[in-house]
Amino acid sequence: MKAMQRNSKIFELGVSIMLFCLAGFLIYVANTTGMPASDGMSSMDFPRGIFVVMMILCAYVGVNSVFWFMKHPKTAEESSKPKEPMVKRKAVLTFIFICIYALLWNVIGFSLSTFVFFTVESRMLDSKRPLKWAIIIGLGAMVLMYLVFGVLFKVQFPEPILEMVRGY
Amino acid sequence: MDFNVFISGVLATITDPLTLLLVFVGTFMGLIFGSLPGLTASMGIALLIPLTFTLDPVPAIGMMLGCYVGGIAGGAVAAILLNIPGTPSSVVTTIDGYPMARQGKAGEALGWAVFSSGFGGLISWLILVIAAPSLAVLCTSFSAPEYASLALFGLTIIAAVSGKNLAKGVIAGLLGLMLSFVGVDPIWGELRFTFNNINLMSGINLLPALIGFYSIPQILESCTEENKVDTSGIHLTLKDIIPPPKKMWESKINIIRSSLIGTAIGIIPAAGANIAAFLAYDQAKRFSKDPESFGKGNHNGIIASEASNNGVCGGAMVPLLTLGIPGDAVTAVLLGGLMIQGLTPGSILFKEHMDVVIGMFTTMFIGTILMVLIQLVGIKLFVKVLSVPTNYLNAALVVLSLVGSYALRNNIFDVGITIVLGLIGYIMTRGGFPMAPTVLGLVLGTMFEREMRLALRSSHNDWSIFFTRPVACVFVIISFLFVINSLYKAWKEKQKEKALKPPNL
Repeated sequence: MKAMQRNSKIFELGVSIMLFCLAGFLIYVANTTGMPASDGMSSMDFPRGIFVVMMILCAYVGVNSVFWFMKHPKTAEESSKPKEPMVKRKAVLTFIFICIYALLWNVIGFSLSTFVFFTVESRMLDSKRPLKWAIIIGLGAMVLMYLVFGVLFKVQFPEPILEMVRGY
Repeated sequence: MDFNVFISGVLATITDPLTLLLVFVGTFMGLIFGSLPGLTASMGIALLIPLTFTLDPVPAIGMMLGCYVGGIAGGAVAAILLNIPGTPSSVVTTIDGYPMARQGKAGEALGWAVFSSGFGGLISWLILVIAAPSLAVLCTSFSAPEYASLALFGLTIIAAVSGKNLAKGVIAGLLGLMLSFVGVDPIWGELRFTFNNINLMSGINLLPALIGFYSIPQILESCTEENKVDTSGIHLTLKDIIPPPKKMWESKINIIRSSLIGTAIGIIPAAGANIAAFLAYDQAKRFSKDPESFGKGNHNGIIASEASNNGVCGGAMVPLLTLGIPGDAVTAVLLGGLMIQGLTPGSILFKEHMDVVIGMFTTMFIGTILMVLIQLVGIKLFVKVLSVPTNYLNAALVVLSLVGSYALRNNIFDVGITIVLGLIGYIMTRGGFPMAPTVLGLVLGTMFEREMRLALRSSHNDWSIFFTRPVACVFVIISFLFVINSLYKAWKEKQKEKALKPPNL
């Protein structure tokens, strides 16, 4: 329980720092690119105000997180327990696969990359299930997605390999 | 509303087979999403929106409304059979639903849930049809100051959907506002925060952001969970499910009261189905002749929870359609869906698109009826759905999510936006930051900024315009009171936690 709370606080601190820096950067962008208005608010006035409030709130949450860590140092008992990963391996792998899947659309096309992704991802998430089922369901998913979105809803997916095969 | 116009609108909708089919598809999908723990009605609607691009507004919105109604009702299945709420609004259903299932009355519990959801949905629908057009007439005199103050009120709802930590909720809301700044300035037409990227010139599109914030974090969270659901021991027939008419008649007061509570809570922005369910359950217990039996398998507990949480659906549509203010997190996504269809909620919607409004009312009614029928006929399927292996389910959801983002503009950049915002959403969720305020900020941010700046231009930068116009003044004051109330509640909650904490020895 304590470990989960500690992980949550780490993420909380991380988000506060990330958004604080983002807001600061955007204030810099607003100051260097905005045009002054001849009448009323300029285009960057309102965003600047929001970024300042964001920085203040992020600083508040971040400082609170730091105080929490100071009030709750790791005990000897917690240190002796095996460390729980902050992000589980499957979540990291899933995210990497999602990025690769999206990048592959323009390389091998939507259909083939959907089949590859579906098979690899479902197998990674549960390696106890037979591989043949992952392949069969992956093929089925590829066909279903193409028929529903590509044919029925006429979404134009990138298909460089299929187009090469068809000779377009 | 002219009666002849209403009838012809209704007939036009119910005689269109495509509309009926799409409402069926939406309701079915909503029930699936509601049944599966971890999936939400919001996610279902966000994934459905890409399918609606080539459709006319009525069937498109009908499909989304069907998903909304089904998504809220579907949560009862897992709540009763597995003691796991399928949706946040079905938490209260577990209190009496699961004990009933353990007593061998799973079918009866599901039946009560189905019929209560139906009654709750129909009663709130009736109130929606009566109240919404009248409220829309009141809004015809609104101009920039009123719209700005309404949007401000909508944004203060962030405080209410922030959960325990108000500061984190506001930060999440501000992130949504920040995303709404990207693109063209609404008054001067200058490009803002586009970093010379042509894809950002039209701004961050709502749909990829919705999918990114709602779908990707949930997928990343659930892919670490093992699929342990075993429904092989559950056998249900239609006879098991339909409650005896005599018992239904005896429960009529509870059904009507809970439905009205749900509708009223739904009309109040940000209160949500969860609050309605708890409130209705509390009232049902108070008025019961046998309050000790609550929590041990009393069907009146299920009636209260399900009638109220589906009662919220019609109620939440009232502020959404008339004022453009979402009643809860799900209707925030629905608002995005309406905007993508080119429809702006408010008095203009009722004036210029009355046919669409009547179509929406009709499809919501059809969706509610279908929700009951589909569950009665297909209850075995929904039980089976609970045991779909999560590895295949997660992979399918990823594909659907990315395809949904891509389909909007056939642009791979939108897929990138979904992935990036999905990662940000996941990190924020792990840190306890809620996502609903981000969506609210993104949806309402542009409207608020545009109307506020227009109002200030018309008043020559005189901020008193928001206080000299009565309606604007009322909404501004309500907004401030809302914020103060939320701050006070958060402070009280903190004091309570401090008091309960054991002293350090």
